[in-house]
Parts: sequence; C-alpha cells; structure tokens
Amino acid sequence: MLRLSKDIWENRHVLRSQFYVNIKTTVATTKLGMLWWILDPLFLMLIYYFVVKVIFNRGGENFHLFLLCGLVTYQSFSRSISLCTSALTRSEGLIKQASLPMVIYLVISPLVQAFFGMIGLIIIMIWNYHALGLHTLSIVVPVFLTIIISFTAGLFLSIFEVYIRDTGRFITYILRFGLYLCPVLYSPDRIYESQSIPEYAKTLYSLNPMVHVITAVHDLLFYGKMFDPVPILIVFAFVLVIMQFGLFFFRRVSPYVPKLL
Amino acid sequence: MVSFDNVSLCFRKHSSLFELLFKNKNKELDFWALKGISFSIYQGETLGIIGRNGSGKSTLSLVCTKIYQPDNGNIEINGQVQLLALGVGFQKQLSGRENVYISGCLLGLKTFEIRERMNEIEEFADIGDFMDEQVRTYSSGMRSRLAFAIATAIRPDILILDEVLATGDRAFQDKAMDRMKNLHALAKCAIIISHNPAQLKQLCNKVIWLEKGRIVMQEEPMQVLDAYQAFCKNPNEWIKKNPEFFCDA
Repeated sequence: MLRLSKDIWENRHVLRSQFYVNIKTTVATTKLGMLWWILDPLFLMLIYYFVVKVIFNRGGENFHLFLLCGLVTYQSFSRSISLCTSALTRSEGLIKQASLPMVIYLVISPLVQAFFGMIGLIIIMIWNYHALGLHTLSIVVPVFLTIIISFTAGLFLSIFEVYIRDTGRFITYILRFGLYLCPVLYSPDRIYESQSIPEYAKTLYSLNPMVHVITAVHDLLFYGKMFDPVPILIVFAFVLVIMQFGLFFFRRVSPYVPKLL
Repeated sequence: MVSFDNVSLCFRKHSSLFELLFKNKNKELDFWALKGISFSIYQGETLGIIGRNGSGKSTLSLVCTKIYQPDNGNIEINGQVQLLALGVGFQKQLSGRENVYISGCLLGLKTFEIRERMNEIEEFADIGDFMDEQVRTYSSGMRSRLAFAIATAIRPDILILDEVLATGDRAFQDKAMDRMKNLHALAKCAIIISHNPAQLKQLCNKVIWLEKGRIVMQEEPMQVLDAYQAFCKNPNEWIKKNPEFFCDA
C-alpha cells in the first residue's frame, strides 16, 4: 500500500495529464460530449421507470430520483470495472514506450469515472434539493469507495484479461447482471425482508460491497440522512485487505505482462 | 554505467497464468529473444547496436529500460535511462501544445519542466500556428517533427535511441542529427540502435552486432561494421567462412 502511494505521488504529473486526456477525449469524440454522462442514466432511468412504475405499477414516491441515484453510482462503478479490465491491453503502446509503474494504468479510469459520476450526483443534489444538508458532504465516502473497489477488482481482472482475452466479454455480462444484484431498482429491505429468499442468499447479497455503497448514496441524496457508518467501515476494511492481496498478485505477475502484449 | 552479465530473455509461445504463478514451465515452448548477452558501457561512451530484423535489438533496448524483465542474468544500471520514443501517448483529437504536455509527462518530464522547454520544442518542431490545432490535421512530417522535438526535450543520464533518426525528409534528418549530437553530448552515455552503419561509425565508440538474440561481435565500430556489411551481402557464405562467430547461434 505504501509503494502504491509512492508510485502515485511520483507519477502525479502523468496521472494529471492522463486524467485530462481521458476527460478531453471523451468530450471530443461525441457531439454532446460530457452531456452524455447525464443523458445515459437519464435514458436508463426513463426505461426502468416505464418498466417498473408504469408496467408493473411498483416503486414508491419519487421513484425516478431513487432510480437515478442508483444508476449514476452503478454506471460509474460498471464503467470503471470495464475500463480497468482492459487497462493493460489498451495501453500496450504506452507500456512498451514509457517506463511507468504498471499500476498507474489502473488508477486513471476509476478517477475519471468518479469525476463523471460526481457530475451526475451533483445534478441529483440540485434536483432533490430537499435532501441537502451537512450530511451531503459525506458523498465523497461512497465515491471514494467506488474508486477503490474498481481499482482492487482491476488488479486481478486486468491481469486475467492479458492471459485470457475473453475476460472483458464475461465481465460485460456479469456487470449487466450485477445491476439487478444491487439496490438500484429496489430497496435492499425487499431482499432482507423477503420470506422466499433463503438466509444464505441474503448473506451473500450483503457481501456485495456495492449494495452498501448504493445504499449510502440513497441515504444521502434520496432520503436526506447520514448513512449507517458500520457497513461502510466493514466494506472499507474488507476492500483494503483484498487490495493488499491484489497488489501482491499484481506485482508478482505484471513484470511479465509487456512480453505478452 | 550499464552492465549486462549473461542476460537472457525468453518469450513463451503459450503462457498461462498457472504456469507463471506455480513455475510449472514447459521449456519446449520457450523462444529465446536474447541469450547470454554481456557488455558494459562506462560514462562518456556510446554503444551502437546493429543487426538484421528480428535479431533482438529493440528487445535489448526494452530490457535496458526495465520494461522487459530478463529471465536470466544480472543487469546493473546507474542513472536515469530513457528510451527516446516518438509520439508517446499522442492523441489526435488534442492540439499539438496539449500533446507536448501529455507526451512529455509520459517521457518523465514534470509539468513545470515542460512549460520551461515549450519555446525550445516549438522552435525545433517549426510548425507555426499548427501548434494550437488538433494533431489529426497535421501531415505525417509535421507529426514527426513535433514528436521528435518532444522526445529530445528530455535530459536522461543514459539515452537509448532506437531508429529515431530514420524519420522525416532529408532536411529534417540533418536537423535531427545535429539535435541528436547535442543531446548525446549532454547524456552521460548512450545506446544507439540503427541499420545505418555510417551513422554508427560517426557516433559510437563500440558496436555490438546481434544475430538471433546472440552477440556475434563486440568490438571497435570499424571492425564490427565492416564484418556486418560483408555478412549482409551474402550471409550464408560469411557464416561458412567464419563459423566461430555462430557456434552457439
């Protein structure tokens, strides 16, 4: 972890310039540019709102805002994971020309996606201004957690992608399915209070860190209250342990990566 | 400053993560891109590397920059090494000036160092107002000039040049050659990879001739380059006459 901090600090100029490149090129490649970052979840919100609220007549009051909180957070997470998975294979040219610590390639995407995610979250804050308060400042906690969860997953997935190029394709389907395993379309209470779901499935559900991250975002921006710190602290500790293991694995294998690209 | 002791590097034809983690390697699948490479360069020296395509020249430069990790042998490097690469991280949707920052950072410069050297880069690239236009609007010559200007703005201790002088028109090549000589004078030592014997004779103290990842000859430039040129005219005949050089190739 100390070495990671050292690598990030020593390469802060590269990180800053790559962050800028990612933001600028995302904007430059489409006519509507950055607007897509709010249009995407808005369109998804309209689709799910139509299915859940109109067709199935489910979802509570202000369901559109509830959906939007979950969709923006999940989309930021899902894009980070996809980009982290392909971070090494996409950067083949750079890896063979610039002698940067390879872990740097994994840090960029979660930061860029968090930036775009924050834009969406700020729009939700303005839209649902009744929920604003001092607790809103704590939004940085779930955003930071999303960054470190994606980075940690990237430590493993980026290496798997180098060895098994189909990894990215599987991840796309897992992430699509993951949307339904997170409380984006429903409240987590629906799972915990269900009589038909077995206890072990409920335990497995609670082990998904994104369940707690999205719940925290709902608490802050939809319900307008502080999130429960206990599950967030547990997720944080759990991710740090996995990250340490991931860094060990990544450092063990990454020196061989340039030869395989 | 740079010392290679019996360095070998292999590419595995079918690598698996399991093999890598548990060292259960099938040796028959190994392809040795470099085998038993030993040489030293001291401060003030310039080493030239010559060889046919696929002889391992670029692989050797990537080992020097620690991008490729050797499978055997020891490497000792004292000082900052930089492989002079053109157009690192170039983004065609961004302006030339923005690309100077992006590429410069990737080559190891800090933002304030790039700012300090911006005039020098602009002057050398000589692309006028195009500096603030998107790189996708550039001709290939303009792109090469800008890339060369950025790459040569770095001041490493050990400089590695891999065929960078083969870019642009004749006038630009002459200008680039002068720039290289200045850069070369500033670096403590340099490694030049080239297919051009005349260039190596002009710049190097010592030349290594590589063939199939092995060192065939490592001597004074004249001696190595004359032998290499004779070899290139008729490789089979040269090998017949000088079998001692290829005994383990």
